[in-house]
Amino acid sequence: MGDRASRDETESADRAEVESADRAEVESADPFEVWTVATFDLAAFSLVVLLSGHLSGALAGTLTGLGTVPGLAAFGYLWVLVLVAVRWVLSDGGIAEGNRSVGSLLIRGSVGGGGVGVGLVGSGVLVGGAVAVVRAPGLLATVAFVALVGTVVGAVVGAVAGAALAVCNVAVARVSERVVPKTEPDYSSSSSS
Amino acid sequence: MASALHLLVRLVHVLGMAVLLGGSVLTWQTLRADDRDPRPVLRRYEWLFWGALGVLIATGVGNLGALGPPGPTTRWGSVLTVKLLVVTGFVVLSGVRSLAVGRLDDDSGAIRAIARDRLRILYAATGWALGAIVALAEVLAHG
Repeated sequence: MGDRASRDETESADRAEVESADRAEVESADPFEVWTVATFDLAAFSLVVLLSGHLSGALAGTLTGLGTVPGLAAFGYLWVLVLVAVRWVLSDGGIAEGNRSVGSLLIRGSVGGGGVGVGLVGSGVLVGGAVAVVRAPGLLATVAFVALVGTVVGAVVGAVAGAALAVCNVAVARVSERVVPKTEPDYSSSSSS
Repeated sequence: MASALHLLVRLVHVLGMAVLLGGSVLTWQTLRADDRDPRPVLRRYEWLFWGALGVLIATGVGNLGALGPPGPTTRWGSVLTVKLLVVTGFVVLSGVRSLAVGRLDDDSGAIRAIARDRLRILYAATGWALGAIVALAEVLAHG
């Protein structure tokens, strides 16, 4: 009786250990994939914004108003935010076919993108607002209103961009799987081109 | 002070392109050599590639701000439109290539022949696309 109870306890502990290991494996995203996908998303988003701005003629005014150092700092900050968001999105499984459902990736992509939008716009408005309030304390209510509206707009734009980029990521991953497929082991090397 | 900063931004931009172009040729050559496992070189290049690409975009926007972007209907503006479109296509190509390299880790033993062939083509395409982007950048800078 005692042996049986002891065996049950051991099996239960083993099962818990395996489940814990599985969970840890699922919850940790591959750093290579995070770095690739995050920077791909950042580059694609930046290029779409640049192209739209250039074709609409709005780019000149925007870039003239933004200094080099603040522009580079904002880009670096956005890069960090995207890395953190993509790490979270991919912690639930990678983007390779069969790892997870596309729906789950879309939902996480939207939430992650919304987070990036809130982080970028919200902190930008807060920093600018804090400077404005120090100079003119009467502006507090206006700054709070602008921060609220800006953060909501940032969240919505970020969520839409996050969902669109999640679709792009899945498409690129699927093309990648077709272009360089997994095949049966073949250890021979081919001739040089 | 401002011109020194712009010079530094341009220097970083050029060095970033050197990393991308030189690295793509190196990895293409590595894939042509039959006698060694190319995966460590490919992975190292991909890590560097995305870092350098992010820096290139940031400094490219900085350059554009310093020069003053033209209207889209001017000749300069048209070349810029073409360059941005080519770079966008190049980023998509690079995403395909990098994710393929990332999956190579799952394979045991030597890299498969078909993967080696396809990757060699992708790295050659990367090098040629970068050459085209450099040519467009030269037209923008001097033409």
